[in-house]
Amino acid sequence: MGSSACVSLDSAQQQAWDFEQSLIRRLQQADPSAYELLILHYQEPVYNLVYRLLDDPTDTADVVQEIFLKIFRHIHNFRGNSSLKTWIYRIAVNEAYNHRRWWRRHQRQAVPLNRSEDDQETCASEAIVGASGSPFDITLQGEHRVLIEQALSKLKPVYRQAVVLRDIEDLSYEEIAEILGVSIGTVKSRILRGREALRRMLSEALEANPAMALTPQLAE
Amino acid sequence: MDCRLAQSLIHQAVESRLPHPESQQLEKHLENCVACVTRLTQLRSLRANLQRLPRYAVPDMLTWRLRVLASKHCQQHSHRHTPHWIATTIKRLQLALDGWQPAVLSMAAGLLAAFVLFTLWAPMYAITESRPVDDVPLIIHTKASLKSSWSTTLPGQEIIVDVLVDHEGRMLDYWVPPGQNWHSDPKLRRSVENTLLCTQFQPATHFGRPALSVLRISLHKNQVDVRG
Repeated sequence: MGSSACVSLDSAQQQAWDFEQSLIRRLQQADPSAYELLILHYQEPVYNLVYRLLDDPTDTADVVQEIFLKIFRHIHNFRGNSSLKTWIYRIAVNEAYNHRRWWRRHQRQAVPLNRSEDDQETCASEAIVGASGSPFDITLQGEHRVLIEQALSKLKPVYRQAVVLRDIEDLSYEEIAEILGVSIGTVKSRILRGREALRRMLSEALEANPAMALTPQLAE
Repeated sequence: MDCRLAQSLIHQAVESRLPHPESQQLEKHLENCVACVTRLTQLRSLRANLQRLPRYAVPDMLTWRLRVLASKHCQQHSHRHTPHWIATTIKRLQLALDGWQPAVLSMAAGLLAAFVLFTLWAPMYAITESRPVDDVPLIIHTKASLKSSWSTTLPGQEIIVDVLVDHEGRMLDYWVPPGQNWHSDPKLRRSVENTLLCTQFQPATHFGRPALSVLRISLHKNQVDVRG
């Protein structure tokens, strides 16, 4: 059983590898269908990653566009030293970090009166995963979500990156180390500190509002 | 195991990645430490809630923008090895053809109809070439020539004179070439002039038309010859 599970995992990894190699080859040959496949395959994870990494989520669409522009420009120089996925995620993390620095430097004060069409579409298309139970439970889950996302946005960028890549995007330690360009030990340290910071912030928030206590749930 | 060591293992336990010996040690510690149990519970709950955060759908406008970017980049890259001026020319031709596209079909039909009509009507209006039997090909230029002269008595020496002949074959003027001295004798000169006045010439022709020309003639006794 264990050995068959290992074989199927290796087989899945091999399939993923073959898919990536085929996609890279076709992208470098300027195959239009390969570009379409790249967008379909990676736009959603990149969008969600950037959404979580930015201070202002309304800039997500613009940053994602910049990310894909860089991907298109540099795919021909891609030598396969890393997997395509980690390469794309690295560009996404760097671009989100740069945008955040730019935003901080310019200290935008103005808040738009009307949200952009993309933002309205985002609001309209939000899906709350796992919303089930009574209306009270659904409302509580929604409030938990807001609480967690607020706490996440207050994390230091280096910790936020690590926690988002590990606990939300479910990447391995090796992949995260490759994306962030640090050692696995540093990745573990950042994840640990990020989770501790989140736990403290949420504990303080829940102490202020005991009705919103997080019900213990087993991690999957 | 103390709390400090336990806390370092708790994060691995949250992800169920703790090796068996350390897992057993941690479980033993948790039996007696409420703080560590609370911490582990909270971290597990936190991780579960993070994993349950919603996935946001990509806005349709963004997907469309990415597709436009991809299309442009794909097109640019496919011409990467083409010299710039060729790529630019191709692009301009494509733009021009796109602009003319609605009219191409009607233009092609018009051209085809014109070609068919021309091939059908052309033989009816063909110009047939007719050559006259007595047609003599024209010589581009003919020199003036002597036609007739009045017989006159001149001295024995040869008299050379250049004569200007008009388009009717009449003498208009004359010149004495270098080396001739007969014109110093008035009587002789008058006799030469009378002879020239009574001489008729065939005018020179240029493309079939009479033209002015100069003729060198010699007068000797009672003969008039053309010298050139």
